[in-house]
Amino acid sequence: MNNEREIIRRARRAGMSRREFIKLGGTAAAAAAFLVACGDDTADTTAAPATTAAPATTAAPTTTAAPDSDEIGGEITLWAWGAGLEGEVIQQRIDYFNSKYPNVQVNWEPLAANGYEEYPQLLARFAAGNAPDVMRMLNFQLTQLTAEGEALLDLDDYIARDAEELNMGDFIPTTVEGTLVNGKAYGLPDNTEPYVIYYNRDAFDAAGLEDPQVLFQNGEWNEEAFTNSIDALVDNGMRFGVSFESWNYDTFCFMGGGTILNENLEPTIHQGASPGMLGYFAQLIADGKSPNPVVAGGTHLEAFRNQQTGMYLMGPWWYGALTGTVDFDYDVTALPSFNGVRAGKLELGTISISSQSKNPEAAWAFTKTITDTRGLEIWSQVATPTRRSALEVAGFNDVQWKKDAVAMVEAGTWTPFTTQGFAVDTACAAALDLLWAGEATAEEATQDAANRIREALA
Amino acid sequence: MRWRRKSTLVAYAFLAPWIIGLAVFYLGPIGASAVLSFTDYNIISPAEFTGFDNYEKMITDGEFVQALRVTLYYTAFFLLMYVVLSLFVAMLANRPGRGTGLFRLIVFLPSLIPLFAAAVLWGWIFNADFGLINYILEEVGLPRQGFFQSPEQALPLVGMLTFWSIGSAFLVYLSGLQSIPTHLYEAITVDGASAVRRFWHITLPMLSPVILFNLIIGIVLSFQVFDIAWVLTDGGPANRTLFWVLLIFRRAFQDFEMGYASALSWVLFIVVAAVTGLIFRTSRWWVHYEGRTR
Repeated sequence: MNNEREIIRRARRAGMSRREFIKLGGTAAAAAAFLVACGDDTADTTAAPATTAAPATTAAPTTTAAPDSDEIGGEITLWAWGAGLEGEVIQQRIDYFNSKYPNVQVNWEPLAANGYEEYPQLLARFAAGNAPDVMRMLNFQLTQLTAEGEALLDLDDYIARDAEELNMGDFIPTTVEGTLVNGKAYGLPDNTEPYVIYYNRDAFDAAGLEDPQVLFQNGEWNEEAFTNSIDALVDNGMRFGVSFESWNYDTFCFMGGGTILNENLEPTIHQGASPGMLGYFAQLIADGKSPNPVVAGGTHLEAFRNQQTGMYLMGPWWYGALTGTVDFDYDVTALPSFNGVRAGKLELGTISISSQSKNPEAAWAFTKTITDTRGLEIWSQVATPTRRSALEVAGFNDVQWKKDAVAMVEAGTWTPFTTQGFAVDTACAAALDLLWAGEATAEEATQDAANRIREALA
Repeated sequence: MRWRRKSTLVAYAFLAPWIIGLAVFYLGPIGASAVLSFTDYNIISPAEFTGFDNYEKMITDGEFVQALRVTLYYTAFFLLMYVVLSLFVAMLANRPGRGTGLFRLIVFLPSLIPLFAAAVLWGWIFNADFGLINYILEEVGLPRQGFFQSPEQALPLVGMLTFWSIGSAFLVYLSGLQSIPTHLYEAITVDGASAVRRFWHITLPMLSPVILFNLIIGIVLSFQVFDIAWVLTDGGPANRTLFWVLLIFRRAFQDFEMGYASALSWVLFIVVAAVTGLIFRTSRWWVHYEGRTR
């Protein structure tokens, strides 16, 4: 069964403005449509140039052993987003690659946003037969590009050829699973981001609460401690105890050991622990201890920044961004355990190679190099690396919040990804909005969600 | 003759960039979308011809039915604001007196702000948990409201945002009102007509071409609404603000069902064209053109 994964959603709520997204989408549509218009006029080939299979020469390595680094040359294009420090770090990774492969010219096309916003543009490039060689991908993109068009290069043969050098066992297993579609690898794990809890340490101190990091280390960061913290924060004058985004509904389900879909892609959100977990968070809203999550992206981050809320459930990527912008002490720790389970959602980034690449050997060299221990150590400045060796080298285990986050990586889980785009998310959002608004019970809302998922995937 | 032919060629040469742009970037995609609407196409894989499947799918697509309902509700709301309310505001602004200029400015000014930006502002003002309005309500002892997070209140509130865009209709009405000859009012006043009769027998007929114009523009604008819902609610809560164009966007750029999205677009085009055509058809009975019937 596929191990395709749930969508990286942080990109949806951050980065490029929606107006720019619309513009990009329109541009992509126009480009795609134009290509269609220029194509053959027979009915079944009215679309783009065929991109369904990689040319035979690029499907597998042409050598039985990895060529020497100075034998590999030419140019490759890199599709990756990254601004500010992230951009600088990407350039450092490119420089690192060039220190090993000096004859390869890497043409990085920096994306303005986050890879999610530019996805239609990427599809249009595939349609035009002009896809980049190497792509930084969100995990749902890897699945969709592979399942619907085999646009990505199957890396199994490359991995087998360079097994010793790659040391795949060094990758955190869940992150490797995220690169597989139908059992084949279409990328190498690049970074993985678990969902965590941001907390206002000053507010916790003022409310006489134990530090959540300490509670976590003592194995006491659980539902009871979490609920007590929320109550104490509110009682001590904080407007809300915790806030979260509605699109993290899957995180809530996972936290208690629930699921959204099973391996057969049948909805399970209405079964097991999921309704109870969603009901728990809905009750927080009903009790006025958490704001309604159905708001524009960034609202809850601002609420945390402005000390309207004492805790914020999100990925760790805002940690650095908050530095210097708040006048209180804050930190990050793992999600609390519920029902004796510590689990949460993971986001995964991969590095993949286009099946249209005209220089797959150089593309592969780039991919494996920037995801080796040193490549990921460089990456760790802005991301959570996927190799255990990189975690050690980069000192992730020396910083408490990073250590807590890594614990969530090990405990992380996914929803099997479907090729129906955002169908599952939009189906669940439509149903769960009523739960957040207090107009449906958790049982009603999750049953509705299950029905909508079935309809969407039918 | 040769000079004329030459000047024609020169004219076409100057027009060529625009004509090429029109063909490549407008007519091409429009034609392509018509073809795509009969296919299953996800951009990555070649399109597969599926006949009328995409059109048949709409009938059973619950989200399409919801989007249709939402769009029709919004259209009714929008037309009420854009065509009716703006007329009365224009009539108020057409009365001579102190402060008239300021009043006109106040009414027109919001329409200079992009609706997109206004929507962001409204999102914060009407935020249920952190917004200004709920803060005021709470201060005066009234219950807090869900606003954009409430399945019942979200759509009317999105509709109210259109108040910001009545400025353009207001301006057209105002110029129409000022072009009505005053001797008509003088004549009917001499005959002892009341204000209502003056409005009914002079203002409305003389303004009817302008009303037709605003009605057509209003219908086109309301069926095309996208940005405010995208910014404010993303179609939620519970799809209560899922507009037709937002659904097209979802299908095209979230689900990558380009064929289905194309079909939705074409049906939207046909509906707008049909409604517009119907209004034009009936206009001969209610639109008065000075000197001729149409």
